[in-house]
Amino acid sequence: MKALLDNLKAQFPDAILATRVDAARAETSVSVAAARLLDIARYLHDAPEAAFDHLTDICSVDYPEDQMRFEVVYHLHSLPLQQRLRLKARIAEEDPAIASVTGIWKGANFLEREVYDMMGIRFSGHPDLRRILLPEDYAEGYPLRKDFPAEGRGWRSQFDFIPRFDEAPMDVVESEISEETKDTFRTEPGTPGPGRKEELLLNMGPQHPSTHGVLRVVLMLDGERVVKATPDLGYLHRGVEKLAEGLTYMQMIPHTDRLDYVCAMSNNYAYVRAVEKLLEITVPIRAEYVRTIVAEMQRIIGHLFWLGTQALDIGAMTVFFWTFREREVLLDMFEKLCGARLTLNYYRIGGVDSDFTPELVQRMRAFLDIFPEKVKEYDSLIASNRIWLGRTKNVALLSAEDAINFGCTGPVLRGSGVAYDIRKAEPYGVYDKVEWEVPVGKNGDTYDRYWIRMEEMRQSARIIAQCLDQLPEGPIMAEAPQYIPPPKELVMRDMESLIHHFIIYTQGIKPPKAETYCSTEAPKGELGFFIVSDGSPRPYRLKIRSPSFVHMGAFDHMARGYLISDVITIFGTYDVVMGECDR
Amino acid sequence: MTFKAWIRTITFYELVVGMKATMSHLLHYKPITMQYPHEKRALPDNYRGMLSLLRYDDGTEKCVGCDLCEAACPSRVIRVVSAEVPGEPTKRYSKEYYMDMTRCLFCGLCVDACPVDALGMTREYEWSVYDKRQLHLNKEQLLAIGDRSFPVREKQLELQHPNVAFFNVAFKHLPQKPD
Repeated sequence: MKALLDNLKAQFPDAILATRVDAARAETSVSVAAARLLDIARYLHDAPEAAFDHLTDICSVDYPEDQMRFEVVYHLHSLPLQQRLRLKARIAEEDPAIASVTGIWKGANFLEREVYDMMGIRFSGHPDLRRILLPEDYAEGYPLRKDFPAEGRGWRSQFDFIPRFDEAPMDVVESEISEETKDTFRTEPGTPGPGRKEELLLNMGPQHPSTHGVLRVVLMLDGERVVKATPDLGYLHRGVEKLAEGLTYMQMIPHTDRLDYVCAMSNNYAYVRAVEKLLEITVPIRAEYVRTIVAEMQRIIGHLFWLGTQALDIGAMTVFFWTFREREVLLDMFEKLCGARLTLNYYRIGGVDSDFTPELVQRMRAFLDIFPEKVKEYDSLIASNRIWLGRTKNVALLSAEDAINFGCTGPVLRGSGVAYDIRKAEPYGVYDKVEWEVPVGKNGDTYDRYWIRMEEMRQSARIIAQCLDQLPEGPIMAEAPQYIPPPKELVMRDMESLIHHFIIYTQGIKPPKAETYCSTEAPKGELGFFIVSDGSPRPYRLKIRSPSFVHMGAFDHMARGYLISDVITIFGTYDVVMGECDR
Repeated sequence: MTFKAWIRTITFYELVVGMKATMSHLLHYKPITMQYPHEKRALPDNYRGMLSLLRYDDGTEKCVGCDLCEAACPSRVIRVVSAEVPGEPTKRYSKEYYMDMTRCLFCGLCVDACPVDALGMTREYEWSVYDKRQLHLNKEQLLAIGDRSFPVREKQLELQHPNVAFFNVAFKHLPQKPD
């Protein structure tokens, strides 16, 4: 890493403003001049000693007091060399513009649009710079700027939130959609459009049963073939990142449940890991085991859910009932563990909420005994079924280079033959203490991704079984009195604990002034949290790198040339959940 | 294509395998669907359902009006108005206590935060109403939920443990230390 930084300084002596190595958190960040960003990015992508082929995330931070107000942060990741780098460029408030890196990483397209939408930074050279999460006619400003009010129009209790029926209904203007608005969804002038004279723009969604939430895709069609597909996101946008700036670190945990509501545990895990990395807390070993077990249970649930719904979308209904039957067993265990089934709020900063009891261990073992049989049953239904093969083989092909270039992670990337799994590459929890393998596909089609998810379920079961065998005794919360509230039994017994309890709950925890990015392998891909802390009890900026959002950036590329009915398969193959995509 | 694969194709072998699995389910599995309004699931004790306020075994309210639940709540459900207990200057209670359940996340952070365990999560979940205003609960309603959900009540705090912290405890209630 040091050689790389020296190289960078030698190559761009005037453009590298500062480098900062955070040894404790193993992170390197480089501040560069915004004018030379494109050259540096191209160097980092192309040079063999850097090889940053994977653009993890782009986000922006607003510092209203500074002369250069906005900071654009690029998280780069090198898959061959296994290193991460944070690139930062400052731009001034008047005319905030920076060069677009879409020419280098195609995945930057959606990420840059999000930065434009949320912070108002324009990217020169971007092919399609429109608002992405907010409506296109949104005129109230850029919500993640610090001068945008966090409370919107005030608290809901202060205005009349219950609709009044005595009001006259709003006027509905009936009109044709203008030709200009259609232009964004048409193919680019250079590319061959539909062969026929009459072209068809078809709206798919937002109310479509197979879109797994509310997602609208405008399809440009040539007969039944897709010529261009433009995803329209943001129907489920709730402003979680802005919300986080007004909440203490602990209060944010239940909100992360609602990101990817199918796999709430994984979100909790990703978030608390990021906060723990910021606070530099080490978690006791039993808590690490419990966390790993629970995260793998959630992975099984997520993949079962995916398998059921994907098969249902394609037309096989039985699988759906069978997978939900097994999912139910695991959800019952979650209910026993933490009292909820879907929005779990189980992980805590520094540990977990409640202990994994011997009864649960027994129930988990009983489940693991029958689970491989069940997976075999699903396989016997569809793995060699000719309809399933016809609908998934060679559909939504994605080559390894494209998958990396678009920033895909998780099963989508592994389906294309790239053996990259964060649990192996940067082991967390106890993944380095158990034996398991990373399944890798060959062709990069839907069938390979299906096979990978099936195999991952088996591997998850293997991990859980080993963790249950090794499960040590011990505490489930870390000892860090500065950050973690004392145990509840002590609160009314001991004056210091009581004072401490009050201080943590009223003032929140105060992390050091730092910034950190921490990524976790969620069932959908790499779920990362980037936290900028200014030393106050609330995060200064919290960016969620959600796999579904990045994967939707590759949708147009993957859907071109396929039939309308395949579009549904392609939605499903990402395992996209709009709650996470729109945040 | 080998001969075996060809035979499998024309005999729809893989469909037969699938149908066999389906048929075995018909024979070996009982239906797992629950006839919901008529039969209900057994919920675990730590189920995070409707919130309630609790009382001690002598019928006094546990809540001491310390506002910690209000501070801990991530979506500002709770509003507490605290006041002194008349005639006892060291003791406080919550004069008014409101919960706007329309925005509750059922995360349980308020229960974690409460220093005197005055809040409890019940196993009630059938709380759909026709009018949202009915979900804006006041103290009497919350206590009523607690009364019907937690019939077994705890002893007064100062009687539970000899070494309790001097927090919101009237001095005349303090047990005498044994000599």
